[in-house]
Amino acid sequence: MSVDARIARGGALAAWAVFFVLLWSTGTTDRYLGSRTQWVVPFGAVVLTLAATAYAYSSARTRRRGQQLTYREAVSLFALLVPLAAVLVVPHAALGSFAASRKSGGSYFLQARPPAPAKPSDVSFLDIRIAEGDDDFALEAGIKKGLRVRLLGLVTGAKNVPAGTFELARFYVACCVADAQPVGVPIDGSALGRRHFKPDTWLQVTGSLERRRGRFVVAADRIVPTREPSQPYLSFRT
Amino acid sequence: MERSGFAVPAARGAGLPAAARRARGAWETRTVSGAALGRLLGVFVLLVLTASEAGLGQGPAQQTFLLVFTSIVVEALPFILLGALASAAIAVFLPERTFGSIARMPLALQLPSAALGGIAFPVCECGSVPVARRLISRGVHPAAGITFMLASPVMNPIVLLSTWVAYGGHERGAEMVAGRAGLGLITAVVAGLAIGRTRADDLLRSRPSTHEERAHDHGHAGRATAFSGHLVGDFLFMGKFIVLGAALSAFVQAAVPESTISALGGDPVLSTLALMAVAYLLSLCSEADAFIAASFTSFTLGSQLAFLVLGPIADVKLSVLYGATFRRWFVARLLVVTVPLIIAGSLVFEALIR
Repeated sequence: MSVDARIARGGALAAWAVFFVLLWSTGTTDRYLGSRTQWVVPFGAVVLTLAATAYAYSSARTRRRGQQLTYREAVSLFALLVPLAAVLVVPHAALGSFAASRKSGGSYFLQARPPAPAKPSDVSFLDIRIAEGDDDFALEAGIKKGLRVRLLGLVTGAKNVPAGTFELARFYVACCVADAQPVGVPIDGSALGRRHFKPDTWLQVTGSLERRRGRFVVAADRIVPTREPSQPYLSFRT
Repeated sequence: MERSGFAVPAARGAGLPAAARRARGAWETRTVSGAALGRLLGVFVLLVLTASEAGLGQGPAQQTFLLVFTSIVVEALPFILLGALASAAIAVFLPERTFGSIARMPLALQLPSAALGGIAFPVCECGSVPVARRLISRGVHPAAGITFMLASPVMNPIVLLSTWVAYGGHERGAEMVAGRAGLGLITAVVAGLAIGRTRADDLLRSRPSTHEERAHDHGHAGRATAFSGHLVGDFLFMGKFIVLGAALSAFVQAAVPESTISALGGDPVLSTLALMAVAYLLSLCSEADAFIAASFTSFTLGSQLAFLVLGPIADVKLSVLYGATFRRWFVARLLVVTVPLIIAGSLVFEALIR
């Protein structure tokens, strides 16, 4: 006996509704979207749930039999479920040093000037990088030689850093992970006898800013390997 | 009633060998039994479990691909949903006479109204496609429908605001916003006129309508049933093409380093073409693309403008979506009309601001 296509359509719709509800309820939206577009998840969760419910209700009310599910439609509905399968297969996928090597090094977001941090000790990767080329911003944010900073990021293994340093970076996201950009700061761990770490290692680095050949470098006095944070990306805010 | 006639034409697949035609016909019409659907579902679950157990997708390149792929889909699907909501509302709640009176308006009035309609419909490019399809199928001139579809992602106030911010507000923001809105508007109108001077049937791709949609057309079901039928039909139809487009775009992002194009920044025409190719391949949301465009500092502002204007009009995921919505020739003609126009416009822009 053939299958009513409405059941299959309703099933695909319900699967996406459940996915958006889970994203919303578990707070894992940050893995995919930046703060600017996160509203689409509650919107999708609510509207998809309503649509699935309304579709099921109206299908149940209609007494006559609906269209039969064809192989073509069945395969296209399965195709729609592939992203959900991808999330199930690799639930904790994250951008790392490979993605950083494919992107252009965070220059995207250096063009816009975000609000300065409330306290100089709160500076982020992006603040430090912007301050390298914008004296007014550096003054406003209090970013200068000797400033104590604490940064949590991953080792990218980038080669274009001052001698004796390695790059620690975070990915910044504007709308979704497709536009994510790594923004990195060189770390000098020589005072601790540690100059190199394996790419993709997450580190908590504490130290003071130094200026070397136009770049801010963190002279680290404490480096602690740590686990990847639950929200590995930072949102780009303007 | 829809004017485009979403029946499968008899000539469809006429160029194929007989065996292929038969196979295609069987593929499109053969129904799935409950047991077969259960087997398909079982195979799907088995594949997912096997991939998970085997650690597939754990490599850095695969993770980058999967993450970019799913994030594009997660971001785009709600916009498709928004577009499907608007499209279903147009189909069910707007009376036929409304479209009759719009269709009777002179094209010279329909086009600018459609182009400026984007201000009132602030969604990304994915959402405007189902709305344009519905407008055209209900009698709005195809040229006006295409103009609306191409202009709305550029005239969107959020897009223009993000362009202003990305270009440093008072530094270059005003020029880039004016350039983007102006060139985007001109490109949308010219493309609408060049491609849309045809009948809706010749422009829109055939798409079998669901029972629920037809029930509404023939007045057999309530409006709520028809609305949910249209909504679900549009969402599922467009959704699968977004999945395909996102996969292609994610593959490009994982496979091609961005640095490979930065060497082309010297020549004005070559650099413009290079950034347009990047815009096409990356398939970025028009609300974020200004930040990416602004980063190409080795490229001229004119080239960056070309990136900003082409991206919301044509990219990998949109091409797949256009292919599903319009006839096969649509994407090729769209590129033939818009690419030279955008190159010329960006060169003029560069000369004006220098």
